[in-house]
Amino acid sequence: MKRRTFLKGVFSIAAALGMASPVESPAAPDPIDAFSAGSVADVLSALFGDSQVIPSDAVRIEAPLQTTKGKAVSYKVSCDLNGVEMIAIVTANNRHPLNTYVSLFDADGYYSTRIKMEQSSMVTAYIKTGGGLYSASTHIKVSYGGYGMHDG
Amino acid sequence: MPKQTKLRLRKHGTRTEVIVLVKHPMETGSRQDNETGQPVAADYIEKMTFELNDVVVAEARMGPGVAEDPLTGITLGKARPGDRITVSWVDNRGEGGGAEATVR
Repeated sequence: MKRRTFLKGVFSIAAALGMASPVESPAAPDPIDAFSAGSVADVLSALFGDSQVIPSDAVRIEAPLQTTKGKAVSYKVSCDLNGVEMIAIVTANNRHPLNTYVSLFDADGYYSTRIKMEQSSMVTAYIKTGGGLYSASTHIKVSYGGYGMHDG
Repeated sequence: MPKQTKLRLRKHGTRTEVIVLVKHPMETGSRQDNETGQPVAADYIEKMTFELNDVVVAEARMGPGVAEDPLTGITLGKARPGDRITVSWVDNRGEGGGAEATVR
């Protein structure tokens, strides 16, 4: 949080000096808030403001139903939606639910990664398009958590 | 230890899948060393940028919740043979890396 306080200070000084505000548009997410958030609701408000989430069959997830180790769980998101601006992956039962997100400026609506899971959880993919915020979820059962607690 | 970046392109019809593998510990900062019991400092990639002919087409943000040696993929519908794809990343320690490839 120190860095954040510092940045805020820098921004307010810049604003006081009448310089163009370096703060991005209100729609842009704050990655520090989003990754430090302790609940799914806080992640969503940091990333998407108060956008309504619409569960959709157009969002497809390719992930295992269960895994022995939560250290690295393959997770691929694709969709039939046009104009995809952002894809976020959120593990509800992690202390910090947001795993990762990608902003897409001129790329297809696809994102693949490997996430850490502390325990069995719903893992949700959120896709933001120009038209709305869509989601799909999958439950992944984990026998061993992914933050080094059960290793070695 | 150098944090190597490998970039691979895979064609799916007109689409090009960009696959990036970074040799990176992705330490959460909440783990303890098994032998010394000392806390292991956080060390994870925060941002990964994808460029197509020097224009940013995607930007991934990561937290400690991304697995060690992250394997990250996006697809580009617009990439054509001869186009240059560049990937670069930076971690919370300020270290970075990248790789480049040409679409065939």
